[in-house]
Amino acid sequence: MLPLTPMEVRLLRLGEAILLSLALSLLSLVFKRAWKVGPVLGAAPMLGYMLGYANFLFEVWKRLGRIPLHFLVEPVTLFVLSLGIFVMMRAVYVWVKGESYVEPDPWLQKLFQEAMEQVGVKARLRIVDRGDPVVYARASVIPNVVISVGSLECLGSDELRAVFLHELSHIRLGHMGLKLLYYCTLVLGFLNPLQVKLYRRALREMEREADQLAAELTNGNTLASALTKLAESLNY
Amino acid sequence: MHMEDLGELESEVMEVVWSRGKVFVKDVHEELSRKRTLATTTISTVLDRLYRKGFVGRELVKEGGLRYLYYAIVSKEEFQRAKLKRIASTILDSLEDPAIASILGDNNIKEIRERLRRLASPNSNGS
Repeated sequence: MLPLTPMEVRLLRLGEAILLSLALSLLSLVFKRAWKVGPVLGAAPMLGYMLGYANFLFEVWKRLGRIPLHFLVEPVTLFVLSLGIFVMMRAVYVWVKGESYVEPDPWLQKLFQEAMEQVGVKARLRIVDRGDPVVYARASVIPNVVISVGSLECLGSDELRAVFLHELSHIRLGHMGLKLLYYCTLVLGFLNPLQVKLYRRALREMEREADQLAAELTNGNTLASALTKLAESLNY
Repeated sequence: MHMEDLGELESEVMEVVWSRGKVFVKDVHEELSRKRTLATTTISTVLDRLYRKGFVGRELVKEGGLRYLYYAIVSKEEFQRAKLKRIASTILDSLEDPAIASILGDNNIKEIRERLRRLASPNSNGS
């Protein structure tokens, strides 16, 4: 039997990495309490494979003094690279295009300040010039809580406080960094169909955690009412 | 300008905007809640969509809390005229079907086509 070519060996390693990734994902899905590490476990074999591939290219370069072009035409590397470039270009586009923001009312700023003190985190309130109801926390040097004018129109002050507490809870629980990490695992584990399941479950659990913390700090019914109102528009 | 068609709820919201002139989300919600159960967030989503489609304009009001005051950009007459033109063009296209042409006869087809063309032309006022 002829010995395997270096590229055939790489493809064999890729197959192994996918199988291991599937097995670990399945295991993480069975153990529901492992939701936090699930996406990382699922993507780890793929990361291992990519590092192995990088090492392989390095060895080739050391031996030949160059990397033959056909060694670079490898599906996983090409996909991850092109997706990385796409994400970067999208980030630049969003940054350049930007959304316009409105100066918050003093009473709203005060409400937000009180919520920050209650949760024990520092963040910046940004009012986005949009008519539909949108509220989210955004990672930044100082994390932002972004709320649209449309949300302000539809929520009462108690509901607004509850929503602020929910978003600030995300910041307090470190969900911003986790979201970024899970997003990377989604890219790395694109050949594993269970990776999306793990990612979605992690997002759901993070929402549940933030709800729980916010409900401890405010009236649970107010929080439920606010979140129901915000979710209602998604049905349309 | 190409004018998009409106969905059921969008039409209902536009009717309120046309009848009242300038409205807040709460006004539209108040009016439509008499007939059906709707969340204010649904109304604000619909109004935002109408704004993006170019049917309504809005100005930010700061007094009494941040909110938008919406007003119609497209009048009811303009909208109905555009709708009529769209229907006329659709029928005009279907007249190309030989099966329909054989049922209506050559003379009738010519007359209908002429009338519809007038209706669908950009300069037509719909009358």
